[in-house]
Amino acid sequence: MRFEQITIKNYRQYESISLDFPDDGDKDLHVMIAKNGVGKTTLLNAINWCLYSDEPHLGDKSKSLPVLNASAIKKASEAGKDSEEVFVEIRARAEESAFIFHREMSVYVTSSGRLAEKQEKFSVAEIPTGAADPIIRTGKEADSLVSRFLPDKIREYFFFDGEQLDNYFKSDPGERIKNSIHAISQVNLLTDIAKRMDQLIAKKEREAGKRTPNINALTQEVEARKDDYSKRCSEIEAKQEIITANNVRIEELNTLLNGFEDTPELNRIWQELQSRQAVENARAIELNQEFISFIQDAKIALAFYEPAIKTLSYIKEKREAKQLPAKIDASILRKTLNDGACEVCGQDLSDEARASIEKMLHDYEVSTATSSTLISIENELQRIVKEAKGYKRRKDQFLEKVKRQNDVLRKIESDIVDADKRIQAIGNSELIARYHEERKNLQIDCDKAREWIGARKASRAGAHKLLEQAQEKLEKAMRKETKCKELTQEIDFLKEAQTVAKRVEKQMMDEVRETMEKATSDYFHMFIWKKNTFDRVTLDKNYQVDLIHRDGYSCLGSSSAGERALLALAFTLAMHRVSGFNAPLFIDTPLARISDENRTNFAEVLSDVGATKEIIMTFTPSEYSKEISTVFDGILASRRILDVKNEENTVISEG
Amino acid sequence: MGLNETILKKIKTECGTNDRLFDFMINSLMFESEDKMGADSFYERKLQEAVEEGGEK
Repeated sequence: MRFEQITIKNYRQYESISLDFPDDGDKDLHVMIAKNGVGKTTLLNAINWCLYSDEPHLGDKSKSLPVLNASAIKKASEAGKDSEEVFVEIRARAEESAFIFHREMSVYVTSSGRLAEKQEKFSVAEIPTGAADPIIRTGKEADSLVSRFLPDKIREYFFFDGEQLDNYFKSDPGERIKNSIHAISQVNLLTDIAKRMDQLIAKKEREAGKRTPNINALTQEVEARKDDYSKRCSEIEAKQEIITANNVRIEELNTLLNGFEDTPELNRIWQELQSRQAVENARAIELNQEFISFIQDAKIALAFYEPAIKTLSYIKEKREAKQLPAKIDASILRKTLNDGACEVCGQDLSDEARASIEKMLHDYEVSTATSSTLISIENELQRIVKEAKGYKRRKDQFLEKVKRQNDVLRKIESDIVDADKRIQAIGNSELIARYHEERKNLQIDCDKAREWIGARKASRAGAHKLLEQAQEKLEKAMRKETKCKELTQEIDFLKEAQTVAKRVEKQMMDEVRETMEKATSDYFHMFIWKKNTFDRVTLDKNYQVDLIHRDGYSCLGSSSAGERALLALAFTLAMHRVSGFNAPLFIDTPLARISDENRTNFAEVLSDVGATKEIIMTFTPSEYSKEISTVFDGILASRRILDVKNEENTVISEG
Repeated sequence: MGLNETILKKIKTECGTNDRLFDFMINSLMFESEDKMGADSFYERKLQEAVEEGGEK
């Protein structure tokens, strides 16, 4: 179905206007540009009111205002008329027929100026191509025709307000989305059939049970087992609902806390920095003391360096002259003198030999004392020289250590200052801390619930086995019973039908979800300018949408409002693709939350979609920026500017 | 409202050569997609037809 014309009379700020949507552009794209307050959202409400009799995008202020246009009220009073008509009419084309959807309402203007609304009238005129007379439908028939083109359940994905896109996944946890998708793909019909089969099987089994007591007992057992199994299923579902609700709240908290730091975590960091500062200060003091000791030791070595070098040189000379150490055994010389005979050959000592030995012994004693002294201090001298030589290197090492330690301390001090600033920056830190605490507790609850579900699933499997066994016993008993033959055949048939319904339901659920997931992911990547940041979009079996970062973690909570709006738009386009309903897409202020970087992609994707689908969009003048007009101008089927006359009535000022 | 082609194909595959089951499923789908009035009598009637037809064969 595509809209060809919308005519509005006396509806809110539209006194009288007719908007055509010709199908003669490169793309079926239609743009209306209007300042705030001119009536963009009112147009969205007018479409909803005409087709579904409600105004879902009415602000609180507008709710208190009369539906009848202010000028129309004035003119009616001046002309003495006691009522005025409000109507919205949509001319559309679909399935080789033209359709006129027309909703009207008379509003009575009393003499005191009060207004009273009369019941609405809705009709759909169908004019098949070539037919002379239209087929007029009213009441349920007319509503049913609207549902055929666009069911009420999914219209919000076709006529929507861009301002609200950011709230798409917050206000709408998966359940409603899942139900809508299952409704449009008709999966719900299979669910309904499976339930009907279940009721019928139970009914037939009860009937069979009444015929024989044994079967009755077995039927009761099956019923009891079924109840037990269902109870376990319900408990698991209830727990899963808690998890879902917790996740929704966690998502809300993620949004509330977006940009606010985790106060308890920040306090922990601050305290940790304080402790580290104390430890590192102590380490710095220790290092300074080590350095002072080193300098003191080094001073001694440096003072003795020159004498030590000279002494070592002297020792070296002596050693080279083979004077160190002395090579004569003094005890043998002394014994020879005492004995008066040579210790080696036993010959008596001559006077000359005695004098020679006495001289040798004297010379030896002098050199031994000197040599012992020199040898005993040689190591210490070498140490002094080594220490003096290594002084600069070790001093540099110490200074480097001290510098590094000072750097560590400076970094800690700077981190403390930074943490102080961050703590001060959290305005209502108590509230933020509470949010963090709540989120933490919810996550803990979710983990516990998952554990519980895991255990409960095991016991459910046990209960299911017992149910199957009871059913098998009952089937056997019934087969034996002739009177139950007919009922058994019916039950068998119903079970077969139920199995088919359940199997196809499961296949469809999986396929539809996978298709939605892929289409959403594809559109989102087309929209977003950060092509490499996001890996994919996921939809779990409850249609909870998530955005996965290329590093593998979930990042929907930390994504920007604009990114979430684009995700919602991608999801909507995916819904269009999956649903097969070719109704127009009407987006009021589609770029409300979308940043400049993403606008070109947005315009390009919409222009692609516009090749096969009618898209009507309303923009504020600033929204219709250069990025958008560059893509759109030249390919639009219609473009008009709306304005207000006398600050009351919306008119077409250019188009 | 027309029935989803994919669902019809899948039901056909699941039912195989069992035409009674296929007819029953299609009738049930059509019933559930419309006004759903008189569900008990509708299903009883369709069930009887399917079982009797099977008995005759």
